[in-house]
Amino acid sequence: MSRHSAEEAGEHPMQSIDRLVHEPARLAILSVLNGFESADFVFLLNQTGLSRGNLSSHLAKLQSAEYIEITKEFVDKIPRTLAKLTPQGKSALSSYREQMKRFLHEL
Amino acid sequence: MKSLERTDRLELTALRATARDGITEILLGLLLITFGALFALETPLAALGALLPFALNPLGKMLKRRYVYPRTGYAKVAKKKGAARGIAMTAVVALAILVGVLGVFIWLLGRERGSSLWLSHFVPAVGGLLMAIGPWTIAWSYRLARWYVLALLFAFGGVAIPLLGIAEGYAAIALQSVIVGGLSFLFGMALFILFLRKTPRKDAIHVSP
Repeated sequence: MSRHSAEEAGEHPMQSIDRLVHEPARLAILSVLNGFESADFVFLLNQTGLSRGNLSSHLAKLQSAEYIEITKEFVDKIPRTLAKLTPQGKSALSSYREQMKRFLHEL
Repeated sequence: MKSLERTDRLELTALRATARDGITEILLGLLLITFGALFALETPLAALGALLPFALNPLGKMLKRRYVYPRTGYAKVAKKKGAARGIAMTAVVALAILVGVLGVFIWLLGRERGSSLWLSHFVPAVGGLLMAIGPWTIAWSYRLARWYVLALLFAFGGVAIPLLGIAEGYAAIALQSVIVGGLSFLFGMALFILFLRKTPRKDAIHVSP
């Protein structure tokens, strides 16, 4: 829902914010993935500073929302879990950024 | 606003993390040293220098696969949307450099200009400026100061080496390539050793989401 339609419906603008993206750990994952075509689990672990279990559960949530795509492959007999931002994920992140900018500007 | 700044910072930090290992500097150094040596020998083999990037690419990939990915993880940098625009801009900048240096050359040397001065001063200056475009683009994309330094070394080296009378013409280009390549290689090696020492291996981590 856009901010204007949220206002028209009498809602607070923050209510139209995508909660799935707004959560700091998931926002960090999406931000890291935004600059890359794909990144593996270890890279995300290093860049976000999350614990393995935490990262794993947030990835699962983002995957079920179809914001990211997860593929598994073997490289030199070592398993690699690759995450990639989907077009939906990209647009969710950019609209979140726009909404937050507008909201914070008006504060 | 802080959370938005944090996301931008995270994106840039992640991008910079892929350039922390010094492998690009090592490869550039090897490329320039070999290119400079071939040029200095004035052998027709110098034309093979154009194939060097293809020869060094597998070496870079091997180093990354063996030493970098087990430590930092694998990430493939996304191609920028405006890649075609970037190439066009680079071509325009290269042309502007060529015309600009030609203008300065004519203005400075007036009627004294001749083919010998053209070769001794103009060619190394243009060569240096053109070679600076690549490092400058990397520096700008990753916001890394060391690549700006490399670009400036190229730009000034091409002008300074003939002007100071150290070398002229093709020899100046060769010398500049060897000096800048040597510096790049040594700096890259230092970065690589530091990277290996500071970053422990984290391979075989696999958690299914």
